Amino acid sequence: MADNLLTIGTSGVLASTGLLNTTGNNISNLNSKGYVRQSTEYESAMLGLGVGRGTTNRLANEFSMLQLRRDTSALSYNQQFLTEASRVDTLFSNTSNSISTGISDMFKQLQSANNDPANTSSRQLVMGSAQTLLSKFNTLSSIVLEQRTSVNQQLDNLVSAANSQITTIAEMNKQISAYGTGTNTPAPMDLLDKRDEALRQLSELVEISTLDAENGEKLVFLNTGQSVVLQHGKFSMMSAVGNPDPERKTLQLQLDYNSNVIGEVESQTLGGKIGGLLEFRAQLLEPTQNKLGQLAIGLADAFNTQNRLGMDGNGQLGKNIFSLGTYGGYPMTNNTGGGIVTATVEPGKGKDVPPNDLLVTFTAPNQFKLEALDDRGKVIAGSAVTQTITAYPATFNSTNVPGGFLNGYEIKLDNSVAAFGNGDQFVLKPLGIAAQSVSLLNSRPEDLALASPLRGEFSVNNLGNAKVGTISVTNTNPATSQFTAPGDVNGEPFKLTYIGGDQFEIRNNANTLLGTTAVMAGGNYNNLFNSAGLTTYGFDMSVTGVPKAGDTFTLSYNSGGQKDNRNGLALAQLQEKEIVRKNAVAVPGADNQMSLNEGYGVMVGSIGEKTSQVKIATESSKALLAQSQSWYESISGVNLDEEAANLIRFQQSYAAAAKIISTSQTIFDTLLAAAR
Amino acid sequence: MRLSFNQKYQINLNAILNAQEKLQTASAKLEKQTKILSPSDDPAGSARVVALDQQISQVGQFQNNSVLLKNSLGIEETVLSSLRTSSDQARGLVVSLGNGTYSQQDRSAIAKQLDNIKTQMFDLMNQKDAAGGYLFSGFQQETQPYSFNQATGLYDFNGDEGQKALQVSPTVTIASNDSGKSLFEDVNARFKTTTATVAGGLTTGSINMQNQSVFDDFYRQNYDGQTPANNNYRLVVDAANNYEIRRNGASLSPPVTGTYTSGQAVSFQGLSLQTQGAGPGQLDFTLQAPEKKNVLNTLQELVNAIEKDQVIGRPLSEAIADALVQIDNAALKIDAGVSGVGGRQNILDSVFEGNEDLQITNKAFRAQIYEVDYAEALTELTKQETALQAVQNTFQRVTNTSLFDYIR
Repeated sequence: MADNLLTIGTSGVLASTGLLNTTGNNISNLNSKGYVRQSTEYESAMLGLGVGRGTTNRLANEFSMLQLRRDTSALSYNQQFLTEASRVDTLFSNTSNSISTGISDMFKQLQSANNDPANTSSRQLVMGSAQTLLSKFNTLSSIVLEQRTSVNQQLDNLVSAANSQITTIAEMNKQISAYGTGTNTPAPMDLLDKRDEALRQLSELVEISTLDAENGEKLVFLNTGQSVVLQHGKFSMMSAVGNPDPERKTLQLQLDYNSNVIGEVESQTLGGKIGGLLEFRAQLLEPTQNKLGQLAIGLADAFNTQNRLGMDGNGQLGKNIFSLGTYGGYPMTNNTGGGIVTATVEPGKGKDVPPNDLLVTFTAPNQFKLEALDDRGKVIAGSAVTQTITAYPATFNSTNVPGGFLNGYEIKLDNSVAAFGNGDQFVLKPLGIAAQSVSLLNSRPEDLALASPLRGEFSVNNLGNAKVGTISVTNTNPATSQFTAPGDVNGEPFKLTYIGGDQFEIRNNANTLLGTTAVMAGGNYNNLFNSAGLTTYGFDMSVTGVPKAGDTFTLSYNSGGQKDNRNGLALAQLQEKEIVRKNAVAVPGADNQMSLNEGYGVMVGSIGEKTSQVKIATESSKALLAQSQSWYESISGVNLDEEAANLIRFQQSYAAAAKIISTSQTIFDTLLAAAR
Repeated sequence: MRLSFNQKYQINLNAILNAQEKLQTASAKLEKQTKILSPSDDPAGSARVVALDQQISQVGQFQNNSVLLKNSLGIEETVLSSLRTSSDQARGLVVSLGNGTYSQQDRSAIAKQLDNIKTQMFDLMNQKDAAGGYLFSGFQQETQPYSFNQATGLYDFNGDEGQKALQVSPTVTIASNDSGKSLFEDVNARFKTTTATVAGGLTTGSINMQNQSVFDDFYRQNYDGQTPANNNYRLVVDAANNYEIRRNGASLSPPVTGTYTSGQAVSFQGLSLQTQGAGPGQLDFTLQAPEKKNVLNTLQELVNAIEKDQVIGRPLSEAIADALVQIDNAALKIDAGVSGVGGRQNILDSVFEGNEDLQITNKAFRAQIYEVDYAEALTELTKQETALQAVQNTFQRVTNTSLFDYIR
């Protein structure tokens, strides 16, 4: 009897020790990452012989962990996006960086210069403010570019962190399956804790889903369905590579035991920090960069175009003020040929440049296709333009492309180094660097062409009251118009004589009859040169009022017209003019153009909108995570008060069990004493 | 729900961090005095602020332009009205020249006065604007519009007809100057005929201007710049002393006919054709090509006629008539110029006021979107401050209790 009592007492003491150990373990691991609360349970022994075998369990709920991982992914995705987006957001909230202020300032100075066109200092101010505007473009663009580099660096770091978690999980899987899952094998709690923690940490980086294998392994999949941890300790490593643009890295998966199996990973549904980073780049960073580039190109090209239509401070035909740069196409790494594709903005076509990257694909040996790409590098349906190449090196622009449309670019194909292969692809990303590559050609104030190159005058001896109306200048290129470099017009002064019957005669300086206008009914004497068949002169003139037969008007080069600001006014009008293209594809007749300022406003608005969207999403995913965390913690977390109570409880049960042993001792002693 | 130890701390810590962030935001709004710290605070608002900022700065520039324009139009108006005064003085003097009792000496004295007025007008017409450019030289900034040509003894216009326009609203541009060409050069000289030549039985012939304005109307309607022969008119007298006036050999429609009496003038469109002799015969005259003459040359010619040529009689009255008509024509042009300037000033004033209103509205709108509302922001700051203190107190309370404290 006393023998039993000793056994029972001993088992009680041991059980209480075990319980105290578990409690102690729980208390000690209070701050251990990934520690799951344990509890030890005993069952009574057979035949009333005290406490039987005890088992220690992890108090983990698979569902709560699943939810925790999912919400962790969501939050870290949003947080990563928000952190990056806030940088852009703050950048654009700073008024000293504002492109809009820069644009306003430049046009303000231009207006002042228009008020006093002959004043060199006010012209100098225009050039100065243009330089300031360009450096604003440059600053913003380089900060945005820097952020792209930082995205690449972070991506590398995050990918290597993810890879280390993936390897850990695969390693744990191996150990757990080696440990076995027999009924008599106690669960490898520490390994499970470690694996769960690794899974949680991986879920911070990418969103994952898991599947339990029979041998205790956990298979891990990306949200895209691609598997990263496979059975028997095999896994896929992530890598970040840039194809075709080395500065734009994308995610790939590669099997650890067969490096030839490579899969591209879509960033759209990836989730986690990596997904957040990639999506930030696709949704915010690149569109912003492209729109900045588009604004720079739109402004520079429109300004150049208008400036060329004027006469500068030296009395010469206006020249380009800004240089726009040449943009090389990025060849895809799997291209078979070695040809080179370059693009430049076609003069005067800057307003046709869409806010997109472009893809050149060789669809047949002598044929290529130009398509616009969306933010994720996918072809935008309906944007394709196909051209046939007759001879290399080939140049395509609005003059030799039927329909004249190449998204505002002039595209050069050069096979002098190596030929193009069929199926070769090139990505053109002019806008990514445009805001940095646009520069002032020189900053001489005289280069500003504020005057119109032509001057129309009525003859003072005219009988009628007609005066010279609008003089329009459309082309000053000496190759294709009557203008001659550096500043004159062939055959000027032109003499226009009203010969009655609503008709004019146009003669040049040698008094040669160049043409007679059609009968201009209704007294609307507009575009007389055009009406006389002189359509390629590059300019035109209208007469308003009532002329009398014999009245003459002259049109001559505006020599000495330093006080003229007509072209300056046209330059100032660019502030209001719609010179930025909205979308690559639009229905015919849609309003697909906007002004510079509208373009900037839209850009700032969309940055703000995106950022605030993510801000709200972050708040909500924070709340969700807090909820799932409290669910998880309520099951798996350690509560000190509970452990304190347990400590007292098990201490007391220990004392009681010890008392049993001492009782057994006393009984035994009593028995011995009785037998003596 | 079972609360774990870590959870207890985490929840309270999060609450404190949250409250701190909100406090920070509230104070940043006050520091930067804006409701929109970054575009994400109000995406639509910040896009609108971009647009408003541009408009405010643009309209500001338009207002600057307007002030400049007001100034230059003001200068032009002053110069033109001085010119008009001078022209009135000149007219009075020219009229007095016709006084039959005046001697050559008297006329010479008047001519000297006219010469002075001419010099004064010459100076006014070469006036410069505030920026130092000539007012009336068109686009030819550096060219003095009027200069005296020693060779011809006349005043030449050297500018062009350029009009510099300034933008005062997105759609309105207003010319800031008028060229001397349209103000002073485009002035008709007196319409005249050539002197009459007679042939056949007619012995003498002369043409007197009876009514200049009737003749002017006729001239304007009938002068032919294309076919010079159409400007030849002929008074044909037949043997029966009936006359007809023909244009380039053809009858006028309706025909101008009558009975001719020697020595009796025939009236025709303000002209009186004076001839003697008997028919058949003819008197020829031609409409002189139109001529433009600026007021400086008009005065110069008159002074020359009186001082140098010392004309009297008919040439004197012709010279006076020429000068009177041309001074009147020039004055009309100046008046037209003044009213043009006035009209532009009116437009400018209304645009200026419109812009001013727009500016106020835009600024108010911008303030509503962008600028901080102090009452609101201060309340928010105090609220967040209190909230932070509250959660800090809570933290201390909640974490201060542990069962272990009671185990001795």
